[in-house]
Amino acid sequence: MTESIQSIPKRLSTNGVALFVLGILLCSAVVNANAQVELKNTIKKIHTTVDADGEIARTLVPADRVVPGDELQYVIQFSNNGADPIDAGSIVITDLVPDHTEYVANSAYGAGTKISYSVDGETFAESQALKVRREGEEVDASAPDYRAIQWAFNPGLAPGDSGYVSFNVRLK
Amino acid sequence: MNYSKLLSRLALPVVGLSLATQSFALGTTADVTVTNNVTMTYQVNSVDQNAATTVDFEVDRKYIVNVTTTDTNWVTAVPGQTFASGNYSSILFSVTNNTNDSTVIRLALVDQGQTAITAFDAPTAELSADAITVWEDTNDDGDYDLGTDVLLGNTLGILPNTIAPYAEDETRDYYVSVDVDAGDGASLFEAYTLVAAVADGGGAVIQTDDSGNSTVGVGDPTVNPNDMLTVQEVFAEFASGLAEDLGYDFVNDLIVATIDDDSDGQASNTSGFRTRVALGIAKHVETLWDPISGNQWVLDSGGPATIATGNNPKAIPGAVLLYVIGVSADSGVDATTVLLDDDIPETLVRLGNANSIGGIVLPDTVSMDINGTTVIFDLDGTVAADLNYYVETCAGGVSSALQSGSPEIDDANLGDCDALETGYVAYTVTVGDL
Repeated sequence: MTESIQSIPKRLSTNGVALFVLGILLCSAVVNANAQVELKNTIKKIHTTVDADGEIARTLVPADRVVPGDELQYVIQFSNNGADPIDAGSIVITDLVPDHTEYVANSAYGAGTKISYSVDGETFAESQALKVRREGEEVDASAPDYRAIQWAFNPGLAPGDSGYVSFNVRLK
Repeated sequence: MNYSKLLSRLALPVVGLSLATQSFALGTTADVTVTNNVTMTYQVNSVDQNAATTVDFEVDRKYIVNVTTTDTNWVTAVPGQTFASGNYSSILFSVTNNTNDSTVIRLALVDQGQTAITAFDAPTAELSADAITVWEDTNDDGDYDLGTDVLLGNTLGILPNTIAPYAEDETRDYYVSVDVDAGDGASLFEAYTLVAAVADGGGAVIQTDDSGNSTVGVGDPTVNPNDMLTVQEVFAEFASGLAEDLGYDFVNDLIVATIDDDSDGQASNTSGFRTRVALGIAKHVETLWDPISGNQWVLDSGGPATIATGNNPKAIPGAVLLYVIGVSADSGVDATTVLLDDDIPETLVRLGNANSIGGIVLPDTVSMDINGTTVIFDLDGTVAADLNYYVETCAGGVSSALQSGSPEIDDANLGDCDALETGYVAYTVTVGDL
């Protein structure tokens, strides 16, 4: 594992709560595959505070101390460091929801991607189509049931270009 | 922290949020490695390519210790009670390890005198506890069992409790019992606070964490550098919010904190005792006569004293039974205007006419156990079978030779019961034909 520092200015809205993504990515895993794609996987913790007016603020902080109940955000960056473009419609990113964590509903993000989920880590579908069995009955799957997330990136990726996807989990 | 007491006083949204978080109990154990695997497949010039990477972190240790009590008001203490005699009362504290790991927890007990306790009655004066006994109820039966339960000590301050680690989410119950001077009066109060702090395997209280927090009496350290691949320690408990709870300096064995603060690796809760008059009461019943076997007792030639006949009458319809309700001011505290009520079962009919039970003989004395003490009431022939019911006051007088009234006994007046005095109510009934 290596470390890099990179700023990602971004503002998301989750359930009406402003989420300021502050930047400073630490502890990123970097892999060069076939000298084409650099894939970086980073993790940060979401720190929630409530001010005197009851306003809730969520900020990203380094995931230095992670304890049960903490919400974490994984950001996967991909960059085309090769000389050739990556074919449009060919990029598929698959991330297994880590053991001891559960996926936070509606947190998966990826601009220009189609997001699908899996409850068994193998078969992917849109969230509405996922089913699980509880007490002998087949019911709609919910976020904690998701064991993997998949992003299908539709555009191509020219040399030097990059993109990212992200999702949140809560440590059980 | 006593959530029941706290919630009864506070309704702030932020408190609710805190409690919801604090209640997160058993979680992923510290030192577990969490790995995120990500793969990417793609094509360059229609040739399949792939990339993969992982990122790991170690779950850190989130120290949370909780102290609660189920006492909802002052626990009654009776003047003269002693732990050694087995007649004692106790306040109860439950200590729970909500850390995501096992941990040793050390305890300290603080005597706060007549300090007010949230949601308890307001104290008015302090009692003088002769001695305290702190013990762990290892078999969870609520009573001290010699050889089974563990005596922690008879002193205030840091208790020499076991350093056997608490498992995740494990709760242990600790009782504090007091001996109360027999000369103490009623409505005296004493509050005790139990403080629990996380400790290392050797029993030494952990003084600092990795997030810049420290235990009571120790200066806050610098925040240690971030390290995702090392288990770091975080004091994560919330402040009590109850004025009577406090922090304790386990390093110097001193009370230096006036509040139970957050993120110091310790928590506390408070309960206490209030002296009350304690009246012992016991009920005696025996069958005097039945239509088949006749009398249980016969008159002695010397007078009212009686001896058993051995006829052994049964409580069949038509039988006559004697009830005696004995009262003893065995707490050593005077009680004033002792009134006694007794509901008569529907199957029994209280007798009030000598003609209907003529020839039935009462025993001369009745013996009964009241709170472990044998008390002999001398009926002495004064309880005639034709009385509706008979009252002998604690002062030894007869409040009324013949009490009339409804089938139930309402407010039978035993008068003032000074320390160790006894009195009784007696009446006869017959078994109805239901």
